[in-house]
Amino acid sequence: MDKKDTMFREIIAGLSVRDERIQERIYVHYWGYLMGISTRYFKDRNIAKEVVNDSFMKAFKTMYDFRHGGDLLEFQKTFKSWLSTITVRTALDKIRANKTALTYVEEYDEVETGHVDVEQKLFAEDILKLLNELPDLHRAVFNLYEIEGFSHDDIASMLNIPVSSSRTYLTRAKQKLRDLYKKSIKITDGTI
Amino acid sequence: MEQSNKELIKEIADLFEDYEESYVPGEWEAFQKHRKKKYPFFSQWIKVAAVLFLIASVLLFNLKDLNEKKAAGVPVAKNKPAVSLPPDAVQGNTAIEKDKPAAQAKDQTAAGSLATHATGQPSAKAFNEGRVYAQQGDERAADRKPAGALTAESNQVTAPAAGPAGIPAKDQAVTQAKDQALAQAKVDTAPAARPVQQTAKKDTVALPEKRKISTAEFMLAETRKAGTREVKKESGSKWDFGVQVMPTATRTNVNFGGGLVTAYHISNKFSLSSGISLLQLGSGENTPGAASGNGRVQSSPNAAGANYSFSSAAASRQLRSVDATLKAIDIPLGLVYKVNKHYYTSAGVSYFNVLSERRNNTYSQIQSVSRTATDPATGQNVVLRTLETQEVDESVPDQPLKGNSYLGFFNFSIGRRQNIFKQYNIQIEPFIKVPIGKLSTQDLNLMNSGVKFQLSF
Repeated sequence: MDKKDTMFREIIAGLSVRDERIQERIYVHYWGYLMGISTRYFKDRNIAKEVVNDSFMKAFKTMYDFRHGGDLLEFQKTFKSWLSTITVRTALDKIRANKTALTYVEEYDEVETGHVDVEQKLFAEDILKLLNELPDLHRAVFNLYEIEGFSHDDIASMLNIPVSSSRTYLTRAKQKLRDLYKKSIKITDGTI
Repeated sequence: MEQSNKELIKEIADLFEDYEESYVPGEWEAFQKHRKKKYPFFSQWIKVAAVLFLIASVLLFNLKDLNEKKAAGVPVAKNKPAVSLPPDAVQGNTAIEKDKPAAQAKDQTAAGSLATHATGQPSAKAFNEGRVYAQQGDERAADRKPAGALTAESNQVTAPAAGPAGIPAKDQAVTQAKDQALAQAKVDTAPAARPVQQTAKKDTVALPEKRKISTAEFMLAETRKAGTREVKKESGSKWDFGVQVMPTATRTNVNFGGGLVTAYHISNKFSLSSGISLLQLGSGENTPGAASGNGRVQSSPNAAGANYSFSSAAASRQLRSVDATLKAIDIPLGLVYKVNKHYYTSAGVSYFNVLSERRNNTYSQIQSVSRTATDPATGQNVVLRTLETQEVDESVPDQPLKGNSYLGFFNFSIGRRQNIFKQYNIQIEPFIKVPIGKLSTQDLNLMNSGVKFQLSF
């Protein structure tokens, strides 16, 4: 914990004097976190990496003007959240650049799956596999709403879609996820 | 109850809220390579682009100039020998007036060549027509006086310049020459390939005649140069280039800058201007509460002429002012509105890249000082204690602006443009630069104004 505090103090000091050497520390420390975000948006790991690197580039360019109160804990929170926002927006830019991904929405059966309980411990890798089964746009809406905590209005403006579409895609994404999860459970149980 | 805690979607949201992968060694090195490859210039790219743009513009401008000179040289050299072609070189020109004097015939040659020159196209037909008339003229006036040839040459010069400098007789000759050239355009005349060898032979004969009139020719050639220059200016490059120097003043300092400028004429009234300048910008800012005191050492009256030594540490210290000197590249982009022939006004923004920065802080500090003075009356040493206010300058290693690029200033100016010589202009342009964006939030007041002196061509 002390080591971490020291590192953040160094980062704060480095930011205030515009020391470029802190970039490496920031990169190494936050790379995993940003990859965690990016892989939720892209099936292709190389694209996810590219998005993370682009995000770091943006961050390194502007981070020296990052304003904070000087409190260590507060800095940790806000800086992490700032990096996360940059990554999400960079990911959305990438998705928007690939228009076909946005316009093509796979129609799948409207199966009301409703409420699904989690009976076992969830593993991120397994859930990422399920997420990758979703159409890009559905996955993006799901991530933005359920994990990043954006409102449907925000999502609609970020993805250039109507608010009603955002709601619909979210509902469909959730249904599909529940469905996929149930199937995966059955497979592991050996019931199928 | 229990269900709500374990609902799949909520579990997923919780799982990913702080999810992070473990760092893969080598990613940072890969990132650095990727960054260098993707942005080789990064912060420098605007500077590089601006310099390249200026160099390319200047090169293009010069190349165009060179081409025009070449184009101007070729037809004249070819047409002169054509005057001495033998009569049998011409065939099928029965429609041409046979009693034309040699002078007019030469005029036609001139008209042909100048038409070629003025339009900038290699008009072989006009060239041939000119030659034909010249040959025909020679039938009658092969042994004319040199004065006739001189008249012809002078017409050759005055033809494209709409003839304000020419005498009436010459004008007439030019008009006739042009008319005939137009009429003859319908008649396809001389065989194109034939006269080359003959021309070469006759050159030796024609040249001595011209030597005799060299002074007049020289003067006419000078006139012709001026004419072609005017034509060039009118047909006009839309670009202007120039150099400028600009003394400027901030609230506390007088500075100096200079650079290159270019302007592109969008229309008669509007043009876009840009350039690149190196600026030295000094600025200072007094900090609040620094108004009192004169800042100089206040010494006791008894200490006059005494030897003294400082011994005490600083009692208090107060920042009085900050001085900074910046060296920066300024790349303006502005829209210029030409109010009338001489006056114009301009507004725009500047990209501002700080190359170097030097800061000096001035502190006011009060010190307790012990002094040893020699009393002139008794001759004994007396130790005096006194408080002194001193002004201390300290250079600051911190360079918050250096290496940064900003969309730095709003520029406003009005100017007067005065034409000197043929193609040079002097511009005097008072301006004001108002910092915007991040520059405006600095602790330094970088607003500055001054006068640009510009020589453009």
